[in-house]
Amino acid sequence: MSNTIIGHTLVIDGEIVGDESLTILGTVKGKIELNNTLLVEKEGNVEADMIVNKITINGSVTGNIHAHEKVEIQEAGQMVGDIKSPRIFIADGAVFKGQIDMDVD
Amino acid sequence: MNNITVIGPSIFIKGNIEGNEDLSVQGRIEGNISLSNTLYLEESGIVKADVSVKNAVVSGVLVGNLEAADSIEITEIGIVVGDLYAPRIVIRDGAKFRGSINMSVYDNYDNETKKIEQPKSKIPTQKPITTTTNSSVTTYGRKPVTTTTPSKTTTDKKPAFPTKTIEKKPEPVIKSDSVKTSFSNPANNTTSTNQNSTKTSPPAMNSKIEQSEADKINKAIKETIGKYSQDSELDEKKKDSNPEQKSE
Repeated sequence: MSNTIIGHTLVIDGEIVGDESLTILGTVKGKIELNNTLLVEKEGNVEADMIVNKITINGSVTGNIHAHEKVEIQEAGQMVGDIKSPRIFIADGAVFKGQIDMDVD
Repeated sequence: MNNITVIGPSIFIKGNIEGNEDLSVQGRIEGNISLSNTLYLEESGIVKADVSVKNAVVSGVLVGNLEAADSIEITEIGIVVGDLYAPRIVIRDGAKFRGSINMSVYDNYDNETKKIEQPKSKIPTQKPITTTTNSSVTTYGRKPVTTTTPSKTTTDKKPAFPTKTIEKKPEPVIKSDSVKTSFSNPANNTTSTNQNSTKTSPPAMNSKIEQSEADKINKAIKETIGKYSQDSELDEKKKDSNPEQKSE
């Protein structure tokens, strides 16, 4: 159960900072810093640079991701940008364009 | 639950939020919030923003202007600092609020009255203002200008007056000494002085000449008259004497 949900009709233009899990059903533009799990659902659309612990992408993401633990691009996920993470999972059917850096910090 | 957006207590959003669903804020938001639905500002929520929603229920802290199309409710634990703009406003007992409240009906009424009054006020105010300002500006602005320009003209004229005064000053000298004036007038090389000097000096000369001549003439006339009178007297005496003599 994620604490924070951004609904599918919601548009946030700005910066989101937090320590709890975040579920995005709507649109977020800007910057996301999260010390927890970020979940981008199917309807979700994110155009932002993200620094998170873990991210799971089912929707559309444009931007660079720096994940401390893991990045998951699910079957319906679309990702354009660079990824820096020790563990990366790209499912069959996912769309990805960008560079991957798996160097352990 | 799908149509409710929840912003958790540890989330801080800095930016604009727009949406068409209910928003429950337990964290912090700085920026503008625009919703076509209900904003629930929970007890732990802190919003520093201008908010435009349909309904608002404030149990947390709101700093900024709150505009609701339908209603605003500040609960017992709510704190609001800012202006409220809504047709229906509820402030529960225990709520803290500082700011102004505008009911949309009266605000629209004020706007309409202002819109109606402004052109009326503008037309009469503009005319007197323009006239007064123009008149005042013209009166206060042009007069000094005119005074300044005459001052310039006076300054232009003043050298003309001193020349005349200088011309006038030698005039007594001229009267005193006619010889000096004859030398001083060509030195000035001013037609006016020459004209004045010529006009003034010759009458003086003529007057003296005339007086001398008149005296001479008068003396001559008196002498001649006296001669004639003496002659006539003599003649009369002669005549008197002669008739007497003749008569005698």
